[in-house]
Amino acid sequence: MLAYIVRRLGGAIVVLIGISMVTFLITFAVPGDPARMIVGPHASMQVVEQVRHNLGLDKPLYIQYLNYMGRLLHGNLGYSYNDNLPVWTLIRQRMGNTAQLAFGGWIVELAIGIPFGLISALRHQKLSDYVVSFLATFGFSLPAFWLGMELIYNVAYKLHWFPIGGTGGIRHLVLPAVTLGIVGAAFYQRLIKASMLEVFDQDYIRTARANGVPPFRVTFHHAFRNGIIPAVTYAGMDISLLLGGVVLIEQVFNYPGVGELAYMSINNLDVPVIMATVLLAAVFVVVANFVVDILYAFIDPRITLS
Amino acid sequence: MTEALLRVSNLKKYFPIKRGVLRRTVGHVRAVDDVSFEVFPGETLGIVGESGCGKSTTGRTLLRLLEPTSGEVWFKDKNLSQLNKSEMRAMRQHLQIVFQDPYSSLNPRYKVGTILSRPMEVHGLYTPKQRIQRVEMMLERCGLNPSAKDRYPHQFSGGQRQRIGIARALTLNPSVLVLDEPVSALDVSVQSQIINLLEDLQEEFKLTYLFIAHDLSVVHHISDRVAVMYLGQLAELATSDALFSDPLHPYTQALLSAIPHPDPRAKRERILLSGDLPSPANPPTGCPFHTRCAHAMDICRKQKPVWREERPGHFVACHLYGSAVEGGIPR
Amino acid sequence: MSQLPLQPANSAAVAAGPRPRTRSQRLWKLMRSYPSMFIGGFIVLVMIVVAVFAPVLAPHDPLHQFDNGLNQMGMPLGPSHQFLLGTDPEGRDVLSRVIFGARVSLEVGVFAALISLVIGVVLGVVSGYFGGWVDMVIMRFTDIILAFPFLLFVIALVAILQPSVANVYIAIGVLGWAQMARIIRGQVLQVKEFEYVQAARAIGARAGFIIFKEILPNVLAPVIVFTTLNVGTNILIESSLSFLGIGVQPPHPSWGNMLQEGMTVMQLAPWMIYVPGLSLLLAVLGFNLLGDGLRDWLDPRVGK
Ligand SMILES: Nc1ncnc2c1ncn2[C@@H]1O[C@H](COP(=O)(O)OP(=O)(O)OP(=O)(O)O)[C@@H](O)[C@H]1O
Ligand code: SF4
Ligand SMILES: [Mg+2]
Repeated sequence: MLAYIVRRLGGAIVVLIGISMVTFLITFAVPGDPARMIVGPHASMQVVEQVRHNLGLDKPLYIQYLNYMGRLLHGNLGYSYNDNLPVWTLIRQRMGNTAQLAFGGWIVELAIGIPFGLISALRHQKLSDYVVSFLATFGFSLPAFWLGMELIYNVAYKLHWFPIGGTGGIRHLVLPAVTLGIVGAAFYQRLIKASMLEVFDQDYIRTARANGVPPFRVTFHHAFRNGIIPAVTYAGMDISLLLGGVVLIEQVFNYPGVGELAYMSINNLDVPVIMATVLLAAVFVVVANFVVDILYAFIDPRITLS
Repeated sequence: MTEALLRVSNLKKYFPIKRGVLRRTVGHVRAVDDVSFEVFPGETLGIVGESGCGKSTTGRTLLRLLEPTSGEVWFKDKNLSQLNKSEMRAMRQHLQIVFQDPYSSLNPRYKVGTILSRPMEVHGLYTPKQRIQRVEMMLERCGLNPSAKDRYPHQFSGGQRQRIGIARALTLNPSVLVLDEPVSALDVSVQSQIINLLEDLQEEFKLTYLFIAHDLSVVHHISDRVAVMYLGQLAELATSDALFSDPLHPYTQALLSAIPHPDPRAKRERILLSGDLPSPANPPTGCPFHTRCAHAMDICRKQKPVWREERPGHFVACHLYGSAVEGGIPR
Repeated sequence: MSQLPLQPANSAAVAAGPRPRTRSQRLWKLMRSYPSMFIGGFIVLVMIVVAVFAPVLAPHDPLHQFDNGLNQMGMPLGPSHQFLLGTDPEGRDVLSRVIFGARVSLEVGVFAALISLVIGVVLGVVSGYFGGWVDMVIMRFTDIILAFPFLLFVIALVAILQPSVANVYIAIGVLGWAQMARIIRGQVLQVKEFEYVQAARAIGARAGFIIFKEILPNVLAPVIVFTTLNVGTNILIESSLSFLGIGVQPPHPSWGNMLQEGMTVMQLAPWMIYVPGLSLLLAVLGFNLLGDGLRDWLDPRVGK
């Protein structure tokens, strides 16, 4: 087990280093001239040179990378080109809101995805399975930002059930969370269905059924642990979906989170802020994956053998 | 005695075992461990042994489908182990293999005709028209209708597929054919048909066979000489008749006692192999067989028996023979 | 036997009883067994026709601002005889813009999917076939790419590269191969163990020959399925980028930037969000249904 944890940790660290390299390259190598972007198009060459020197942009790329890494390890994500505030400060102000939204989205995902997945598995290849599976494909194909607009127009604007946007409590969270969770719900429906079908096919379940244990009990007693828990551990992928969706949905609902920050910095071409959000999201995914892998290894020790 | 066509000397193939955080190599599976033998032109050399003793690995390493860990393989006057990749590819014309599994050895996406003309295409042999003729001829020689070339592998039975596999190997006019358990996946009735086919083809095309099997009666029937393998090493090698009528190695004796003998007078006591087959990752010291041998002595645990020619053409690796002990074992 | 890659002809035949005789009977059987493939295929076909013949099908020039395209208060017009699906806040014909929007979506969806396909297949095959440290490096790289939330990553790259249609599909394509590479690698690892690959080596074939002739044909099914699904995803991402203002630039129409324009006026002109939104949903649904159906038909083993 310890060897497994250490190996996973090593893998995660390699991936984290890779992530930092990729974000570094995109931040400093892809845009033509970061110094020019900071000072704006009208500044003199001299000023540009000065800024370049101050930022260490005249050094070789690998030195720049090491400096970048050094700053990251000290928790310094750089400064916004736009208003010179530390990026971390900007992000921290909004992180709570985004976390609430993502959590709400996750609840919606599970609340819809698990029952639909179970229906599909229990009624496999019956009408209800076909209907639910089609709904899942449909949900998968829904453009979330459009769904958000439709909800705003029909549910908030026409019916006045919920506020149109902004923050201020649970009621403000409902529509954006539903919008965010629909795609993930479709994703969970498929996972749970596949996972449960696999479990149903295993001997002990068939034995339990043959011994007359009622289907309901078979499902919840035996299959839950072996069918649902594995499915729910696809957290990394799920977090990817959630964090990607946040940018669009916060924009649609005028919700002051990190996604909206990312959107604003895209329009200002505020590269450090954009890349810091990307970096943090990726780091978050890696950490979540690592934690889930370890927890999962405790639930099912077999996997440490492979 | 004629010159050997194929000479294998001190061939070894170790597979690394990787463990731990850094996937470090912590040991080796000694699949083939210092094996030497010769194959003469036109003969059939059988290789027998329990599952996992390294028969397939020997066959594949000798053809360099797996790179040997050490040792040499000579084909006529060419040292195969010294050839570079493209020289080896050219050499493959002369050394072909037929696989055990008739299902997975034919690519399901191609028609039989395509599968059979591939080898000639790869080696740039013949014109496209001649290739088709050759494919039809080979199918016919292997007991199939030439029209089989327009069908897909899944349209044939196991036995027919094995005939296709044999035909493929023969399209290049090889001199040596490695047959890796060519019949063990087939029904008994089909097995004998394939064995007969192989015998006919050998005569017609002057082929030399390396016949790998774990079924002793099949090996006895088809082989001129037989090598017995145990845990990656050779235990005994002799003419088929000598080996089956007068086995020297205790392991061979145990194997033979397990098959029903056609001659009732030759009634032997059945020798049961006690204990499990040790792991080739961690083979016993000294004689690899000592953990299961009824005649094991002190020396067997300490010293590896040498590979010696006990009688003319009859090789054995056992301390019971040679200077160490006089007289051998009572039989 | 069960581990052999199934052939399309096989699995279709397995799906139901006696073998239908004529070609149309077989087609009918196939349609009944895999309806989503045909429904999706139909939607995709319609979309392709609309995209290709957009100049013929569109009633108006999508960029033309009609003098009579806005009401006295300067607001867009609802559906009418002249403007079947109404006009937008600039007085342009929404129907014509939606039709031309299909072009951009398809272009980006397909080109990006092709880029991902090439990168994913090459890396997946190399990784699976050669193994060893090459495999390790490629797989680690794949892990790194997969750690980034895809949409966010594409948004960042396009924003920094400067928004343009070409940059959009390059960014999507260049970042979207990782899943494909993983799937292909897994398939290659399986196929590589089949004895026919060993047989190809035994006859003296080169690595390139073995990869192209023996291995690739047997991993084609997941490649097709995955690429089809990718086109749908890519269309969704293109529209998201255009919605955020970093995809197709106005005045050129794209479903995403139409939705962006519509968001500001949706209370007064709801058709501005219904029309491009439903088109987008239908297009993505079409590719997803087609992809899922193809998967069930071609290769039931590939996980959902
Ligand atoms: N690629 C490999 N990696 C690691 N170990 C291997 C590999 N191939 C074979 N081995 C091991 O080498 C040993 C010999 O295997 P081999 O397939 O040669 O046996 P065999 O005599 O052909 O057995 P069988 O009768 O089952 O075919 C076995 O212990 C096997 O587990
Ligand atoms: S050497 Fe010893 S242990 Fe090995 S076979 Fe001969 S008698 Fe048995
Ligand atoms: Mg074998």
